[in-house]
Amino acid sequence: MACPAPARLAAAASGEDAFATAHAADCTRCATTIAEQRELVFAASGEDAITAAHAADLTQHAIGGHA
Amino acid sequence: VKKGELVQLRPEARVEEMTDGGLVAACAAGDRTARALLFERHVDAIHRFVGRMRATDADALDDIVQGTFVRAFQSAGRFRGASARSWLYGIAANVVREHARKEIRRKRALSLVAEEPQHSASAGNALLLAKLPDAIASLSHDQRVVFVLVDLEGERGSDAAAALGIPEGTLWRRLHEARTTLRRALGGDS
Repeated sequence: MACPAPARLAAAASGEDAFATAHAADCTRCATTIAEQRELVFAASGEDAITAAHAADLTQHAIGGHA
Repeated sequence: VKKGELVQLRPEARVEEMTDGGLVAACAAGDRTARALLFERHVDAIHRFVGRMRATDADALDDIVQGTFVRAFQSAGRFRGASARSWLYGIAANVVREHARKEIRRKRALSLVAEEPQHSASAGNALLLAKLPDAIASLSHDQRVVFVLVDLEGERGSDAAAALGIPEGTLWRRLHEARTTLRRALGGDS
């Protein structure tokens, strides 16, 4: 299955594209992109370090879980 | 009730209880109380949005916020949206862009040289947060406005796209580009 366009991954990182989110469950590359964007958004929006670290864990999980 | 006396069947809505849509309509009719209330309801959000768009320069920030509401009152008759705040964000984004252009022209004319802000080295998330305002300021206007609206202000994509008058797909593409640029600026890999 073709990966969603970057715009849709951005929407998924904001929780606004269920299809791209579902796709990322089986795609390491898209899961990583979404997790990286969420990590940035958490940090930028002033969420605490724990939340940002959790987002980073999601990135690691996405990478580690499918490597 | 005497014969011939006008009877008000439905009391007028108190301006404090009006929805945003009603308030904007009253603003369009020139109601000063409605204008004051619309300002009061949204000034904090618009102030924060403009601050995030410009990062510095408190005087300019106040000018832009005031300019946003003046323009909103002037164009209130054309309001058709559901969210007054999203509508105000759209107006503020345009005022910020115009102000930035004027500022560039003014600085060129005066041959001013901006002093680069200095940052002390620190670790982890604190460093990222310290670098963030400059990184946001380095984005193009189109990228910055979508990042501030969606990621910092928490607007839904559909509302932000409507406020900016762009297709939702365009908004998400710009947001993807903005996040990618920011990750690079902040030391990320992508």
